[in-house]
Amino acid sequence: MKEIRREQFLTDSARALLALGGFGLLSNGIFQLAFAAQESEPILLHIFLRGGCDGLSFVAPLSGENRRIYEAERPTVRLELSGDNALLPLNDSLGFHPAAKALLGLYKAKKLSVVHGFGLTANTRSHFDAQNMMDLGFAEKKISSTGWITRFLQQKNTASALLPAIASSSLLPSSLLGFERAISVADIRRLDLGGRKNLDKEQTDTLAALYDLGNSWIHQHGREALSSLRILQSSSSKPIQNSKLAYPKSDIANRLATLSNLLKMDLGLSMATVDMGGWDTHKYQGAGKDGSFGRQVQQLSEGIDAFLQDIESTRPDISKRLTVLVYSEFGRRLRENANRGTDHGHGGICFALGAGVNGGKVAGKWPGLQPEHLYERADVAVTTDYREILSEYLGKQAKIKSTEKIFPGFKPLNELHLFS
Amino acid sequence: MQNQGRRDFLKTVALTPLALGATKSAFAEKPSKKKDEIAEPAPSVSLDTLAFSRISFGPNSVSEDQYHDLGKSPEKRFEKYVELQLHPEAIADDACLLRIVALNLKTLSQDSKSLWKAHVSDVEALKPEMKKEENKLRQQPAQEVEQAAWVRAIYSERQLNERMAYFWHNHFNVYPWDGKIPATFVQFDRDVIRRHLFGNFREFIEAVTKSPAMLQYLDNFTNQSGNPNENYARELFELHTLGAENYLGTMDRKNVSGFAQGHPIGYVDGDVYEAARCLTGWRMTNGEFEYFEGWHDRFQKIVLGNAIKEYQPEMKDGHDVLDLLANHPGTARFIARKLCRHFVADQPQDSLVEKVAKVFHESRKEKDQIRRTVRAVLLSEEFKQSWGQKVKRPFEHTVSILRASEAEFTPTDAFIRNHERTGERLFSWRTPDGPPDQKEKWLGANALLERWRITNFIFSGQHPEIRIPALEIGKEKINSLVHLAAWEKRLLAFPLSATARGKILEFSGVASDEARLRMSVALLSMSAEAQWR
Repeated sequence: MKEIRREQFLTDSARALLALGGFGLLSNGIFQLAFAAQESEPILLHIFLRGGCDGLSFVAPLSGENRRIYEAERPTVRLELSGDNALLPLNDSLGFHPAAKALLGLYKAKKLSVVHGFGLTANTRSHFDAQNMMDLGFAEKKISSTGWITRFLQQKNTASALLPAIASSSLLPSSLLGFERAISVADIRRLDLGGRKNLDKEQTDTLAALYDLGNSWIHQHGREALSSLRILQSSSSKPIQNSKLAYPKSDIANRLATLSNLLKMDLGLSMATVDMGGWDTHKYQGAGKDGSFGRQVQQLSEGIDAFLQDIESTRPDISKRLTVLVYSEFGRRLRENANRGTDHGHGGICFALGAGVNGGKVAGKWPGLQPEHLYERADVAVTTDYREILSEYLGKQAKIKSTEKIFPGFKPLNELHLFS
Repeated sequence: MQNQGRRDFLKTVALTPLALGATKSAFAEKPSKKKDEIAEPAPSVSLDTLAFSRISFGPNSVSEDQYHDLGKSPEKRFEKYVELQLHPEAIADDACLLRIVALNLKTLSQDSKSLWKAHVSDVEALKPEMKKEENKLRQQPAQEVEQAAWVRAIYSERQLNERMAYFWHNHFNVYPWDGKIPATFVQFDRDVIRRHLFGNFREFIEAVTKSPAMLQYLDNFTNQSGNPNENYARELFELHTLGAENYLGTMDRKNVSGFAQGHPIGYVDGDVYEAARCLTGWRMTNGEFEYFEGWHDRFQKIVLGNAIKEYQPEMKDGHDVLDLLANHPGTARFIARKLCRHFVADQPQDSLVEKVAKVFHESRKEKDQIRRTVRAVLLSEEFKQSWGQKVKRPFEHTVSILRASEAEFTPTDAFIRNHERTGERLFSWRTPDGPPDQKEKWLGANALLERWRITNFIFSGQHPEIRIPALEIGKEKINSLVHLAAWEKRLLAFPLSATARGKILEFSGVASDEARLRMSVALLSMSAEAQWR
């Protein structure tokens, strides 16, 4: 059974059982065995901060010439060195936003590392161009029918996993473009077709039979949706809950809680991607814990912290395999604008957390704020190509020998030793 | 079916001479297909069906009868239908109007001043004990625009008009639910989108630029000399006119081909910054557009290779930018491509895009520039050959079902919340790029599952906002062969295979009750065949 492939599993056993009248007949045991092959696989949770997160407000300079320039260019959108809204030092030169207290804890516990001057080297300040290039895995405008996560999953051969990839949103992001087996899950409590209750099972079976009768593009997607539904419905590996732990109330925390339940269902996930919006702070972004940017930072930090605690306390086996990467399509302009906000910039921040991460350090080269070090004398430069970190993860954790096909045209040059 | 109106068909349902391969022996399973095989194309359909699926939100019996009255030759009646739909003002629409009146909406006919007063100023002055009402009052205008949009898409005879409203709302996307934007969204829908949807593009983008909804959504209302906010200027270039396909990044504009002649082939960041300066002082006051000279940057700028002189008359800098953008051939190509993508194919042929772009560009001084452009799209050979190239988005799917089943529908909050789970809610795309018009985004597992669920919501008969008279059968047993044959014709653009029909009949049983019939009809609408448009 260990060798069983998903395709076979579904077509042979499951479809046979379906024909007999129910997936429910499939015992727990068979499921567990089917997933056994996946149990040592690493899992990457990829959190994309959509909208261009202001890296200079998330991790700001504490001292020296950089601090002087930062204060001069940011008279109002600025984090202070003392008082209630003081920065939380990471080292002598950089500190976390005061609302990132939860992340500071993880940093001190050596579970988290920070990269500043991270991002996309392409010359663009367009959200949609930048996000698209990063989702597709390039640093130039390319038409591609697959996203980088898709190419990774193809190379990895995830045939034995039931659900190799999940996006926690109602629509799929482009990084999973072309991967038909990826599913997006907004709410796993809704696992029926929602019509007449007494007919639901029969209706679902008929729908599955209908979608088996053709092979149009829509039929193919329908079959994937139905098999994902079956898998989720029949997974009796009930997620273990930590009753003492409460997720904070926010959209990102809800998504992470949903994802945690899916992880605990042992579906063979190797990649999960979660989007968080609200970072496009052109006006009134605030300078402390109470500003709109501060609230975003707090929701993200507390959400991640709760998620990691949840997995660690209930499923240490998963926790050992789980790495989290957080980043955005670009950072924002050094100089604040007239509306106490910031416009689109260039280099930003990246956080790496969890399994395999060499935590507690600021990795890579923080480019600094002197005019000659800025991108176009206006924005933080990119000193670490986003693909550098993804490649290092893929090589060291996911044991991918070469990332040449995942990031065509990119050769990793400067290893950051972010992962062991 | 094409020679007979659907209404007639339903009246004479018992006579349906359908080949019902519904005996048990015909239920032979085809082997499961592997999905790495190349996808099968959709079966072809008649020009009539194509016209309904693409130009309208799908057929209903009334529109179909009227369509057939337009002429005997399929080509001729198609051309007549296109021309008719391109002139919505000539189409009587009383029934739809009455339905909107019946919704008792308060805001749609009010002017900007009264809307601002009632939904911003008065709300801010609410007594503490009334604060609970605050959010509801603030959002009411946007909510009413949304409700009316549902009713019009389903019941209006001016179907192409509604499709164009849908198209342009997606193109000039505004997320209207934040802050004070709701109070200005009635004006945006009524006086900007609906007034210009077949009009002149240059006038359209000026109306959008000055609209308080867009001024707030993309921050231009704060854009001032000395420290401009570039948010709107950037999206004006990238999303509204030239498009990302003409963005050359941060390169020096002097290196852009054609710059020296004042006709650069594309734009760079420098153009965005200077255009933002041109639009300084374009702001709003109490929910209405205002040009404020004191905020305007009066010095020289260079946009798209053209010098915009210092100390120009009021608003001329901004007008110059809009002229440059509307006249640029790159804009013609970008808008043509989007229109072709909506009406013809996810990846329209370049030759078609060029042809349509030429019409757009050459008629750029005409009052009905967009009407001419849309006509060129719809009357193209490529349009006629394009069945199987478009998949319904969730809104399109839901509206097509409600039209075909002749449902009595009220857009309640509960319905809209349930529908939102499909991934598409009207006027609710947060980022200014607007929802994508390509199939890949909309058929992920979760989105498809929710599309099936809303289908069941519609047909289950358990929600008071939707009544489908044809399904109100009561306690009697009915012959589902007859009913399902009629429903198949109503709901699908082409017949199901005998095997697929057999599967549904197996579920419904030959002698069926109302509940099983309802869920069987839902299955027809959930089928792959029902997702094409």
